[in-house]
Amino acid sequence: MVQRGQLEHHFDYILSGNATEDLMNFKTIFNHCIDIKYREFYINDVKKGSLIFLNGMVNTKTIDLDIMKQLMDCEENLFKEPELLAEDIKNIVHNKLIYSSQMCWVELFQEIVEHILSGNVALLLDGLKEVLVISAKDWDKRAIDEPATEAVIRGPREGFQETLSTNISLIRRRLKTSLLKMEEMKVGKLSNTEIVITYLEGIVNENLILEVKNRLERIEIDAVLESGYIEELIEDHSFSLFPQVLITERPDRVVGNLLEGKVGIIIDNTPFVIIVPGTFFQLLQSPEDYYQRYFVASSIRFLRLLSVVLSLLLPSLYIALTTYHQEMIPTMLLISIAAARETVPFPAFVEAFVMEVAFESLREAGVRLPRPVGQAVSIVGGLVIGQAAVEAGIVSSPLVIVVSMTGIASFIFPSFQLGLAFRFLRFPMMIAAATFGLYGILMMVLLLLMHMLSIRSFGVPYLTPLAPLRISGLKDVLVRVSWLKQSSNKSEKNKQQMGKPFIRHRQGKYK
Amino acid sequence: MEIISRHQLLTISIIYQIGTTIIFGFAAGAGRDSWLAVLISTFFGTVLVWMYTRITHLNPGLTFIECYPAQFGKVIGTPIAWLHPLLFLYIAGRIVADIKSLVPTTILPGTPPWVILLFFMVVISYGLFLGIEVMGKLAEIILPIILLIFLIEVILIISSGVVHLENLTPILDKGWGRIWSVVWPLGIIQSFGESLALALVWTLMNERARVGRTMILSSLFAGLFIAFTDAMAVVVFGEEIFKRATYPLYALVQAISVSDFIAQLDATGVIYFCFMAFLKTYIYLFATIRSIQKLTYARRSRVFIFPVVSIAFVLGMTMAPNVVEHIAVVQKVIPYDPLYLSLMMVFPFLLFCVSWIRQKNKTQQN
Amino acid sequence: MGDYILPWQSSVMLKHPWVLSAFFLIIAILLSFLTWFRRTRHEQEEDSSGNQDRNME
Repeated sequence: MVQRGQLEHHFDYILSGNATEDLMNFKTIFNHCIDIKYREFYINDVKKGSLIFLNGMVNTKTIDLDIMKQLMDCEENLFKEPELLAEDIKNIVHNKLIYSSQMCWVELFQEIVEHILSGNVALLLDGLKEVLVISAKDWDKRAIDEPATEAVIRGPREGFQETLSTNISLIRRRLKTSLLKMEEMKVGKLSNTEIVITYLEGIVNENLILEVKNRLERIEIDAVLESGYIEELIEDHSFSLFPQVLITERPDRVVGNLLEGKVGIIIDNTPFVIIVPGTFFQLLQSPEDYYQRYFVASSIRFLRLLSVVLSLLLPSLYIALTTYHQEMIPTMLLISIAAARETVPFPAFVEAFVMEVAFESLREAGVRLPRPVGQAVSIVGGLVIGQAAVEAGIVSSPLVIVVSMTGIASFIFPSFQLGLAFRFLRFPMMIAAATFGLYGILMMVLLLLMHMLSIRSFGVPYLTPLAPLRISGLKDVLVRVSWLKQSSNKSEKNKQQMGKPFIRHRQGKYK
Repeated sequence: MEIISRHQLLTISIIYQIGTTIIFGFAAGAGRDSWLAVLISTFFGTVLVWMYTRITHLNPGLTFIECYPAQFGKVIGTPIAWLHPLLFLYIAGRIVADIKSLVPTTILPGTPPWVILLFFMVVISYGLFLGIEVMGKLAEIILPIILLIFLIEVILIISSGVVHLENLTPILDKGWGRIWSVVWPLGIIQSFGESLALALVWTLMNERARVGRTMILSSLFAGLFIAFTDAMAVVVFGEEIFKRATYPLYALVQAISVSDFIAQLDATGVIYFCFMAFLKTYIYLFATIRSIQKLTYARRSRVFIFPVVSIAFVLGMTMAPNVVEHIAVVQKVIPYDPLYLSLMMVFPFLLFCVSWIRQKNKTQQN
Repeated sequence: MGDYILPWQSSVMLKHPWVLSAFFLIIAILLSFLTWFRRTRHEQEEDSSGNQDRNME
């Protein structure tokens, strides 16, 4: 009996061999589930059986043509002998009757129920203590589309979907090697979400795989709705602001990381794939860097690093310099800033704080508005409100420049989560700057750096290759090294990944 | 178990030894020959530091202060060992007082000093809580930045047109007398005797055998750096002003004025100093906590963080009512202070001899 | 005598420099007793439990 009040399923039923009885048991379990359909039939008027499936997750054509038709059209003499053993019945059904390419025999009630709920068809037959589970999965899917959050100018426009098998095939197509392994797990007591761990054998560190599996197995949760749940549950430091795993919607990005010895975690019903371990500099990379030309890509990388600093420090510097250290600003600039700020009744900190909050609110609102309206509102709203505020004398125009430059800098982050972390950190930084000027900024930066230096992601220090200083790894951080110069030494590939996560293993031989 | 790499130790020591000397200097008494005084001090100081490393080498597995009870016996050795955390705590308090004198007077005149110091102590506590590994990585990252900023400063100073190389000459016209008066004992104590606190970090390095070489390298580099800075200050200001300047390097930064665009960068000098002070204070407090932990056979060192930091805070706040007295103590009292001299020179020398003799006896026996 | 209370202060250091050293020496000797006490207890624990030394890092 299903015990209500407990979240775990606990079926005490056993298959008896009598199709009618078994069917009754299934109907009891699936009581009040109108999407579960039953199709009872007699083969040659002798053998009783029935199909159970989830309408909406199966391809009815497959059921009609490949299963029902075969069952109805079978030989006249089939099953007419009265004393057929279970073995023989199984043999007949498996080898002569059903045309499906994916089938298996299942004994346990719990498993059969899970199969039915996954979109497979269960075939019960009188005299058999096992049930044949036939794959017939089909449901409405989103078309493979450009990933919404990670657009690139040059590169494939395929993004992951919500269906696990599609995502797996997107990865498989790019790495046609048997070394690409996909292992399956189920997480979530009520949701039974399928999770696939993928890695490249030979490049990845064995300990990493074991650790990932360990952490996933230890998860106890009712349902996994999105990869965010898993992310928080397997991270080393879930309370920290900084994401320690990489989340992406792009198959090429996943494959790139697999080639570096990282492990990918694909979760059913979400297009966001997790890649572990994730380090700070890896979160700042975009796969596009490798599709563009060498110098251009390197310059863009520099720009990105610069904007990281700007997005964090620019408003704070403005506040600190105008409040405490006016003498540091060049005289002409100081005069214009002073003139602009003359009409403003608030100190620099309040100005900046209000503008930043307004900007953040606009940004959040822009996410939820329908697309055509949303973009217009965010940009125009920002400009108009900014302009109006300046003319009303509430804020000064240098500040509008500062805030918008900060905003632009924060959009450059390839990883949305890291961008969020820095967006948030701006505010404590501004408070420190308003209270202690440059000294406050220094202390906050030290605090931040110390925190980032103490975090590890699956054993890899977060600021590798800057923190334990590895010059060989640095070349891939500051500058995008051309293919010709990247490490292609096969012996370096093995089992050293935990120490040197940034050595690229792509061959770049020039013929 | 915390481990730092050789490179991390190197960067920590360099920053530590350049430390607060860069702002206050010790060679002002030698006038325009200060750079020479610094170089000579570097030579002797490096020998001293080398001796410290040899002592740890001769007593494998023990931190520096544990060598005292081990070699001198419990009765004499333990009080001597206990003097160290007390001294380190005092010096840490001095640095906190340095900040108290510098920051409010230069960049934050309106803020009460205790708030500034409180913030400082909070950040240090966080660092102590996280452990020395984090500090090693921090030093690794920031040293290049510090050197880069210094380089930019030098370039800016030269472009400000205030450089007068002739200020360095005539060399040694006032004789060696005033050089020696600066070198011994202040010059040796100031940056090199203070490296004693680093001795508590040495056992945490991953390649024990190379501690000596690392420290020698760091001492030489730091000495050269300080000498260069002093020479720069003389070249810009001339001897008389240099002798009287309270904060030579800070004054240097103030002198930068490039075509009226980049000027008045005082705050940068102060920030530079704050970071150096941060690291030095951290090492001293780390050394204090580690010593206390070893001497009390405590299991976890974190319990000592709060009391030690609080004591350092109080020391710093109450130490000096104004900057003049504070510096007078450094110039007049400390060089002859029995505590400094004995702990940094006399006792280590004795320890070295005793350990060496014992080691020789052991090898002779085998 | 009131002069001597806080020997780390620069005023005291300038007038009577030896006070700090004496102060520290006294404290060091007092704390040495603490060390002796903790050491004997530490060695007792080691003997009785026979564990490896967990303190040394």
